[in-house]
Amino acid sequence: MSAAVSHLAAWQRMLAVPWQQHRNRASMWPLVVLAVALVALPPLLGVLVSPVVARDAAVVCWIIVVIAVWVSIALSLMLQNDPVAARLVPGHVSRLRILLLLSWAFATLAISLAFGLAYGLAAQAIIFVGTGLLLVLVAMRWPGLWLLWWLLSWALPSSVPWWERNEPARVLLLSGVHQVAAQPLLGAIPTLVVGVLVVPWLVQRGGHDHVRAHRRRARWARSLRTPSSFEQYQAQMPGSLWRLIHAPYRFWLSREGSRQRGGILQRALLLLGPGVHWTGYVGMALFVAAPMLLLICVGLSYLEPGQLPDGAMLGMSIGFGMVAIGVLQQAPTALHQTRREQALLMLVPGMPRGHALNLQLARALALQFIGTWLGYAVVLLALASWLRVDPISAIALPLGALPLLGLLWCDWSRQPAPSPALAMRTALFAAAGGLVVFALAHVGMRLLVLGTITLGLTLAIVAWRRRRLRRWPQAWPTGRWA
Amino acid sequence: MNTAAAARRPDTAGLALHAALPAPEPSVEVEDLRAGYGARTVLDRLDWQLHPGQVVGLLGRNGAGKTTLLETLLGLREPQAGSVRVFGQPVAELADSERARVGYVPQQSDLFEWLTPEQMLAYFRSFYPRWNSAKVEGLMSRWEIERDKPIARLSGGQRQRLSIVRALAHDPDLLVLDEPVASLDPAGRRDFLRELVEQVIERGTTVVFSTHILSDLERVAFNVAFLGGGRIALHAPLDALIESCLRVVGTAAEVEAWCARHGAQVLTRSVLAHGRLQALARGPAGDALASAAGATLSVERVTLEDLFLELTR
Repeated sequence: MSAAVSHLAAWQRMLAVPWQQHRNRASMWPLVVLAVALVALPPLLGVLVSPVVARDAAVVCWIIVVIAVWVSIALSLMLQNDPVAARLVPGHVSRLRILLLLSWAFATLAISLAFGLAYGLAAQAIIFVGTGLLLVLVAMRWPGLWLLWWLLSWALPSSVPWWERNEPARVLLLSGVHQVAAQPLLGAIPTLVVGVLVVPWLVQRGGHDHVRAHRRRARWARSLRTPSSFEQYQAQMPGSLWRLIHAPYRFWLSREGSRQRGGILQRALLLLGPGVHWTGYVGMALFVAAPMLLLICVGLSYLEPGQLPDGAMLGMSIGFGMVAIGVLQQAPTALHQTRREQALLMLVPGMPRGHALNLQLARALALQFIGTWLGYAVVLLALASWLRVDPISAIALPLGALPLLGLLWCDWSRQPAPSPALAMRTALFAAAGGLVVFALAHVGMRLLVLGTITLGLTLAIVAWRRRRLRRWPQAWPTGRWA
Repeated sequence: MNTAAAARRPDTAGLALHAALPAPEPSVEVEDLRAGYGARTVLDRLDWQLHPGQVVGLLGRNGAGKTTLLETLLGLREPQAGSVRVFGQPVAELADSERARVGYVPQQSDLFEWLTPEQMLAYFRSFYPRWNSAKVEGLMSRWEIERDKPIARLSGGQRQRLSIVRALAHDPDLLVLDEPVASLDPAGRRDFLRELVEQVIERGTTVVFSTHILSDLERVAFNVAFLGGGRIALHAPLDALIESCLRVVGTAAEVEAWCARHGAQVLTRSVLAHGRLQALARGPAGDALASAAGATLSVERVTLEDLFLELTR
């Protein structure tokens, strides 16, 4: 009996790891608040709006809970797949395989069941949810695949017009859809079989490849806790693409790195890496944003003018917006990560100190943000003009995000380690700003007036922060008083 | 004389290395320094002086504030109170000409990982008016540091060596090293210590370094400073300190009487079982005092490790 209990306890401990990790690192209150909100939302909508909306909300809330729990368990199990333990700890690999498979099956079936109860589409849901979660697991095993999934998530919707115009492709697509609709179990059962075969295989058994993969996985998992850092991009991208993105930085470094010309802070920012230097953003624009734009343009070129589906422009605005406000998220992360290098740089002759450093750094970061922001706004306005859609749907988010420039003019000496909450705050501020612009446009305010108000507000925030710059301690080394 | 007062006058406690010479202007002068993190005070009313040509090993337990002290000394961290002067200037307003005389090896060696050693050194060279390329080339070759490999791909030891090369390259007059040999193997540590000694002999550099490896410190540090309770508990030449410090164990009355009789300064006291007292005492003639022990009173020599354990509590 006691042997059975101890056997069960060993399995429980493996599953409890993500919970323990979270409890050790952060407060539980945000989770409690989120759980209460998710439980309370559907009945509230049922009372205030309609039972149908409440049902839809309940399904969405259930999916959020299941996905959140499953991702944390699956990621933890993959990280527990340590190469040393895999070779030396008896039964470790087999237990991990069983738990990973069970977690995948449970999450797939739990979400599919909700779809079945709400819409009668359980078998169809198994196909899509099972495949989706399997792709997530595969990307946890090979983090470089996140980029491919991300590109596909852009490329596939963009290619819909092509599928619709190309007759053989359209027939193939429709027959597939009809087949799934008519006999969903024909798709669901193979999905489950593939899952049973593939999921355990993702857990490795030790050895050189395992060591390398585990290191990559650990770095990727670590990067999730410091959002929007270059480390995150690096962890998610294949090395060759990463080298490509770094090419402008490396070129500039070899050209300017050892020269004595130029502002000393600009040279220091160059040394602090692509995370805080403008060439890093140029690399991202050239090798990530531009291909993304090209894909979209190819996809949309099949559309007649004015045929763009509702909300597509807003979707593109959000997509490019993430690149643009990346400066707001990336600069704090990069500055925090290079705080020890800053300590050394503060000792070199000529480095500005105190208020002079604060002011020069604020200017440099503001220029980076404004440059990225302008590029983003121009691209979106050009797309809106080409597609003949209301420019406000393209420019609302950029306008709403412009005053966030003030976030870069802050007391860097007290900058805490970047966290997902901090990134979420920036994204929420940008979204809230965009919503306000939308609302004002909806009540009839002209674009020119909106632009003037946003610019005025941004200048006021900058003026206010500039006065405070004088009172703040020297910016570098970042975070020493946090 | 209490230990804090002794720390304020490290070279006038009867054990000074340069006692016969006129006191030169200190390279570093710390007065009444208080530093900490928020409400937590790490350094409390600390006084300290480093003189040109001194090699000082800074010893303290984990969390005692060694890194905080070294960072504050370099102006990388603002003190809550007190003052720090480097080459006679307030450290916060250090002129470029004086900054060029300071070298620093931080505790972490995984710096500028996205660059190659060649790029990193070329960059720093562009800032300094004086750059000893021959020394850099010599050390890079002798320590077998790969020049064109990203720093991230160097081993821990190579990164640490590179950090040391960078700090020595501009021939600093003040060299601050925060646990510089932590990730070096014995051969690497020996090479580094040899380089440090040459630096001091050739240029008269003031060196302060923190370490936990007492054997290295014994090999190279002429002076040792113990950090405990937020202050420099004792700063004195190492050889003389080992010669003059003794552990005296007996009843409280015996220990007090013995110290008074021999004019020994009690550095620390700790109560043992059965009412016995153990004192770390410092007197003018260690050998003579050691032979003066009685039947119930034991007097014995101490090692650097004993001093570390006693003075950094």
